[in-house]
Amino acid sequence: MLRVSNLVKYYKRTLAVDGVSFEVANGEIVGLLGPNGAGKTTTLRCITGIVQPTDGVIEIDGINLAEREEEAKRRLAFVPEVPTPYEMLTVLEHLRFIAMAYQTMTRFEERAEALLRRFELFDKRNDLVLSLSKGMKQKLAVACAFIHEASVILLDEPLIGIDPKGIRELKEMIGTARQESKSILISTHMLDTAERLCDRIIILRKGVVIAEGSLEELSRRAKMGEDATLEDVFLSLTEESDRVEGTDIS
Amino acid sequence: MKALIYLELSQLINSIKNILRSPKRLIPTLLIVVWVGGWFVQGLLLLVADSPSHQKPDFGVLREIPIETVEMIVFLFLSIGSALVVYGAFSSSMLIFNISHIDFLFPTPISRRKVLLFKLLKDYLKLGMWIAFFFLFLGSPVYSMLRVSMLPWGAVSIAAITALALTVLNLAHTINIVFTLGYERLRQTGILIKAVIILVPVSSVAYGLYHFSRTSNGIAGIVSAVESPVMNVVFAPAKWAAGLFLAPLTGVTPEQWGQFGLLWLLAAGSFVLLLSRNENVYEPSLGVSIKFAQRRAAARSGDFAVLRVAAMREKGSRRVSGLGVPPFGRGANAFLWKNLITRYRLYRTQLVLMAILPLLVVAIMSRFLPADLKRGAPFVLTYLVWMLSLSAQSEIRSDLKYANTIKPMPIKAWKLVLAQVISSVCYLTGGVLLLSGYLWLAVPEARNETLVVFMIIMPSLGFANIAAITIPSLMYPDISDASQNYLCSVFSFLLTLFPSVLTIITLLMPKMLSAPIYVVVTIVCLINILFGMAGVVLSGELFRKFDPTSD
Ligand SMILES: Nc1ncnc2c1ncn2[C@@H]1O[C@H](COP(=O)(O)OP(=O)(O)OP(=O)(O)O)[C@@H](O)[C@H]1O
Ligand SMILES: [Mg+2]
Repeated sequence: MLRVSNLVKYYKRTLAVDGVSFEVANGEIVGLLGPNGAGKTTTLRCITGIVQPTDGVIEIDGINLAEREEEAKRRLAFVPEVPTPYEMLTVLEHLRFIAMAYQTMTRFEERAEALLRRFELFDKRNDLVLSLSKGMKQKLAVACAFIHEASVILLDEPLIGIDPKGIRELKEMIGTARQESKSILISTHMLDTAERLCDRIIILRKGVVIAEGSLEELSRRAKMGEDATLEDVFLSLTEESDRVEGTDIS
Repeated sequence: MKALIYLELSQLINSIKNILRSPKRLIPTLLIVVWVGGWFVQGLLLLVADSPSHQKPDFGVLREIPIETVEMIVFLFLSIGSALVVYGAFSSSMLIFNISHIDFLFPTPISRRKVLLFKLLKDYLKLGMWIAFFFLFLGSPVYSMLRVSMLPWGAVSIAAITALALTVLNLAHTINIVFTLGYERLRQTGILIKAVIILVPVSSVAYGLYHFSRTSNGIAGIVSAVESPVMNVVFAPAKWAAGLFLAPLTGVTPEQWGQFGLLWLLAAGSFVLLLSRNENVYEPSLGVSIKFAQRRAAARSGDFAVLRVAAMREKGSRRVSGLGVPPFGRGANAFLWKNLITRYRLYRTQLVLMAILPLLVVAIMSRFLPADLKRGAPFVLTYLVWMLSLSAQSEIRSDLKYANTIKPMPIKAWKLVLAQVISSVCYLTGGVLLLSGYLWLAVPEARNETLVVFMIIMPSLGFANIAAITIPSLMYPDISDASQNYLCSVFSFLLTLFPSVLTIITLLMPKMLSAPIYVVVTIVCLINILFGMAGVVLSGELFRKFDPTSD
């Protein structure tokens, strides 16, 4: 379970996240949506401890990240936005390094093979990451996230550049993870995917949560009919908050 | 820790394998290794075989330089260097983890302190090796000339300088971490510390000036500035290191052994201080690492435009102000317009320099050069055009990476090339004509017919030159390949020889025969333009076949 309360993050003087609170329960998939620069990546980076939150509390399975960082991070898996894996490692070495870092080396070869076969990287296992295509690197990053047993999985735009088969595999893996009652948080711009995959949607805009809930709840908030797609709802809600801000200024 | 060691070792082994596997990478590496290794062995030989039986020239005069002066200079260097490093730590991040670390290492449960420790140890090991290397590399010939053995005190020098470097770096890192993250909270403190760092040299300069005014002895003034009490207190470690640096010449006194111990104590203490910080050391490297990686990639591919763009981004220039070329044209003309403005934006500072520097050059010339040379200015200018055209080559080649965008445009290839060439020629011609104009105005001796002839020929000469170098640029586009670079330079050299020599001959013409000069000049301009057009057409053909994906 992941709980974020009142998260604030300044980069120097830029306010990137402004008091965001949400929860991802066990066995739940939550989509984090928002226009470019809304603060999605920053939120995920705070949760993974890459950046220091200016304020707020992050709990992973009830463990406070600020207090027991290593313990909390052990339960996390993270697929970064446009990942840059170590070029001078082979695919298998890369997975092994991640497994070593998380200290989950039991049955490593077996698990690595299964994952690599799933993403059609097995033939490339002894190639340098240097020689992988963009989509292959993305797949490798996903494989790295699933090589250890995390209870909270964070994915930052994981579907970009992956081929249809890879996307299906990833979706299946996310589905399986939900059945294993893990908490999954996905930041994405692909609204139709989010609509089908996620149990709940959080919409961020300029570092603030402007809407949160299931698709039905969101369409109700946007005063739209039942057949409204997430795209309609998303655009309506973000535009609405643009308008609200506009009236604030004038 | 095991995972980190695994990571480093695997990467190292793979890099070596990767180099060994490809001759393209292996040969330059071997050359560099042989060259550096040769120096190193030579240094070691000088160090060991220090027998007077060798017929070595006596550089005893070097011994005449008082050791105090040398020590003072070393002290000055070390203290200024330290101050700059510490001062810089307030603004720019210094802990540079690469992007892969950000993406894949930082989220892992390996503790931040371990990651930091590992990173620092790696960096410091490298630093120590560099210091030792340079000491041997540069020091051994000097000491051999002085007929002084570098052993055993050379080791003390290296260790002392390393300790100082570590102390300064540890402090700088600490400051960097504290001030990048506690930005608002600690602003005042930061300003205070910076002010102190500035005040120290200022006060010592004042102290020196005061001495100077009393004694009106310049050297004594400088000495007293450097030796001022403030400098000696604030930069005491640099002072000790400077003394120990010359240990092979002076030996080490008991007092200096104490200073040596203190230096290492400081290094260790500052290291502990740095490691005890609780801030998130990952964050400062976030923005920088990406910038750094982009820049390194750009440098590796020789793409100077990217470097400049990065520099501009850093300065925060988002909008371009000042003069711009109004948009014009369609098709290839629009492309020319785009080239003109992007160059203007990228090289604005350089352009300003281009306008000011010649003024300086001309001013100096008119003062100090003999009249003959001044009269010969057009020949020098021809040479300058030649050199500038050759140097434009790297730019043309780095522009080729936009071939992906440009090639699909519905514009004939030769027109694209022409637009590209003309935009370069515009800047080249503008700069050189400006210089010629200054010469005309400021140097009476240069105000002659030859200069006029040169100025008329100049645009066509630039065109011929730039068009000529475009051909080899397209034939050998890969900037990262040493052999292609070599071939490209040789071809450019040969091709540009023709218009340049032709110009030189024309400039000599009035003295040699009495043909009407305007006829000759017209013919030469025509030849240059034809030559250039031939180059453009040929390049266009090459560009049409050019495959942007295979670099
Ligand atoms: N390292 C950094 N330094 C300074 N500002 C940053 C940094 N990273 C992000 N920002 C700023 O923080 C804000 C939020 O950025 P963030 O990357 O979190 O957005 P995002 O929602 O992930 O956008 P996108 O959809 O484009 O990925 C933006 O205004 C951005 O400019
Ligand atoms: Mg993002």
